[in-house]
Amino acid sequence: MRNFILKVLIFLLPLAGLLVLQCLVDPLDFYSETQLLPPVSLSVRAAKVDNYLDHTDRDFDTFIIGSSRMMRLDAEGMKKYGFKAYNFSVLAPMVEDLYCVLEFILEHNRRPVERIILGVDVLAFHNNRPSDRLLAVPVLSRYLDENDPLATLPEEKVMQKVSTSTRFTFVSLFNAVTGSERDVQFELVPENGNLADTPVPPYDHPPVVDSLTAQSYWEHYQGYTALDPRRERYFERFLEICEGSGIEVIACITPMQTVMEKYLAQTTSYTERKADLIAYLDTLEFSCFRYYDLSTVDKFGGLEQDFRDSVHFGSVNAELLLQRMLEDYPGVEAESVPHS
Amino acid sequence: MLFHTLTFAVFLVVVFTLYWAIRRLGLRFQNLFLVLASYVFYGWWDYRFLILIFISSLTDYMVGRGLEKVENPGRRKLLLIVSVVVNLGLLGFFKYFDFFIDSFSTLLGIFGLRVNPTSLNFILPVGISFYTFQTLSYTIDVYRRRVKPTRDAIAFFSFVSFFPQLVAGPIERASNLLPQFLKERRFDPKEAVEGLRQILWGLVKKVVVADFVASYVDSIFNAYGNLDGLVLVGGVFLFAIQIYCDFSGYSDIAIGVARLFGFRLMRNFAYPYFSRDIGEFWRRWHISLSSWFRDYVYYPLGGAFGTPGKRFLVIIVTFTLSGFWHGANWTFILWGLLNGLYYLPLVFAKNPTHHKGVVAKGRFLPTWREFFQMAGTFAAVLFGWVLFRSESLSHAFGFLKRMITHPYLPGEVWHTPYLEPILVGLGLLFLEWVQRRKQHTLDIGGLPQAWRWAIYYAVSLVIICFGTFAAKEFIYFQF
Repeated sequence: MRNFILKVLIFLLPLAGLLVLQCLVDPLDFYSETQLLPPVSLSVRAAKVDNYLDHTDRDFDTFIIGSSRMMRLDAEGMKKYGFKAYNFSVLAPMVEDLYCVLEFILEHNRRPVERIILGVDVLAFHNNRPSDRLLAVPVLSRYLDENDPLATLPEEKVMQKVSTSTRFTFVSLFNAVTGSERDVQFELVPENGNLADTPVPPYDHPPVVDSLTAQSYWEHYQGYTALDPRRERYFERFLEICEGSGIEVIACITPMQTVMEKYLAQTTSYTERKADLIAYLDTLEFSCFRYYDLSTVDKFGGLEQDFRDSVHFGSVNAELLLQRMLEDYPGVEAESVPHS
Repeated sequence: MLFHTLTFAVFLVVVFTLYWAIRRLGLRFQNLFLVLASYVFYGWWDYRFLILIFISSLTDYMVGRGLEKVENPGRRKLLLIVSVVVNLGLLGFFKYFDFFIDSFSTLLGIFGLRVNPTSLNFILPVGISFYTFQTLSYTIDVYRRRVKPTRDAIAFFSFVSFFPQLVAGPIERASNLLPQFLKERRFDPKEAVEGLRQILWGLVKKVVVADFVASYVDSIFNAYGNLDGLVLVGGVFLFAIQIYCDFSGYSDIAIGVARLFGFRLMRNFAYPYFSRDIGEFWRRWHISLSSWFRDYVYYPLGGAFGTPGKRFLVIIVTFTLSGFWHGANWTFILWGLLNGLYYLPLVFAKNPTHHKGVVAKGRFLPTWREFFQMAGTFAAVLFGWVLFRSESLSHAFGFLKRMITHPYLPGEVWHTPYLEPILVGLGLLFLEWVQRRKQHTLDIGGLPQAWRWAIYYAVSLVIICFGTFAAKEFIYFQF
């Protein structure tokens, strides 16, 4: 018996070592600042928080909040509307992310916020997705209610997180040994949260579903059977705070390529959930809030090809989207963007 | 408590340690500890249903004691009826009541009669079909005087509630498992290592394969109306992989865990997708249930003897009942019936081929004849899986119709993610083919130690890096 237990422990030792190693390497910036090696990807939430706090003035009157799709909106370019903007969009936010970002901004901005340009993804109200990315950034997640189940990572998600982190630990180690650069998806401009390459020349993505993006979005929609009431509550709290602080919220349902929408409609619950979302947004009675359904390019006169990958639009579409959102905004005279 | 969760890992370590630590206190104490551990394990889902296990255990223990004392055939039969009524009564009430009420109401509707049926909408107690059949086999065997009734109540309660196989089998026979509770158990390191290997392989099947392909299967079966024939065929193949890996993975873990505690459970799967005919498939798939129906339904009804009409009826009844055991749905009944029809030619053939043993023995590749036999059997099984996976008959027929009438793939739908899970499924089948002579795929006891450890680490890394830890329940829990 003793030998058996000893053997099992000896066997488990390297595996335990591996688990410690993935925690130390922390390739996806899941844990605190433990990284032995450069992360294989950028934690956008943490980077945006750091960049914003490093900002000497923190005197923005406008914030762009939303998902990776909204990251393409040009905060610097909003000067032409007379706004001083910061793009606080992050990757794959759920509604509580938006809420936490708002609370964070209100706590740290040194000037009253006047407006928020808000991008709402249909996925943000998913009723079967945990807040794992948010929970990895305690400076944001501390705004969640302590007793809210969304504030705790379920056991299976902890295991999934360890699994993913372990997988990428090998990538980090490989990069370190071979001297390979990390696969930089994008860089951020610290001063305004913009993507560093904004504005980009128009993309020319064919109207064909990009298979990797399709797989990823298809997976995201699994188990999405209804809007999550807890997330609806966070959204309402978001608007209540804005209403109370005199902040205008100009929102849109974010677009994707028409073929991608068609694909998701065929294979997932996208159509039903989008209808649910529109019905829900229609019920909200906040004078500070208005939204536009801009889920396909035809709804804001966008370009079908100006997409990087069927979902993430380019600079031309970003500007057209913004023009459409600000069309009815008092005092704003939008400069027209030439279609390329 | 699911086998592939951290909760179970902690539970297992604690129970394993205490179980062997208290060995010196005596067998009864050790068995009592197993009963408590098993009740905690089961109560983790819903402690209220513990009462059902207790009632089943108590009834069959008392009936067993009664059968020991009573010699009068009439009274013996009465005792057996009590056991059957209590066990099947609980099963019928919790599992089939709503089905019968709804079906009866539909039938009356056909004749223009309208009723407002009262559905109970009970939650199905996890594992009720498994432990009910296990404990029922005890009383039937005692009645037939094939098993000696036990006077040790604690051992009997342990036998009914033994946690590794309580909720999804293997459905053990008293003749195999009960005596193991009555004799002292010694820790055997070889058995324990073998058990750990089987647990490891079971985890691969469950978290790396079954749960990975599960979401693809769900999406294909849910959105079949928008998909094309070839994708639907892929979906059925993936379901075949999912259900096999999910259920046999559970069985592997159950058998492995039991071995850690010094018990040998019966084998439940023996590479069923390499069967050369449907009879062989049923000797290799869910062996504990197939043999249960063979011993307690098929043989008592007459088996392979009697007139052709009777033999036909016996086959159809046995398979239909086994389908119905899986769930209160017409899809399962039709699935059972279909398998009965598949089986008939084997019974009525003048020179039936009874494939036994390992396919392609002594060779790596099968002969063409064997290959086509396996492919044909697999295709027939796949056809049945459509019924098994569908939520209703209309769903199943709609799926099959679309599979046949929309066979092509337009360009944009081809950009779907189904290729990866199909390759994973094929990879698993390849490994199983290589190891088909062994008890399970990770049965590598004959290799040198360095190789064994290298393989253990490789398998562990695959689980850690590529596992899906979504805490998905095992499919067979719903049965």
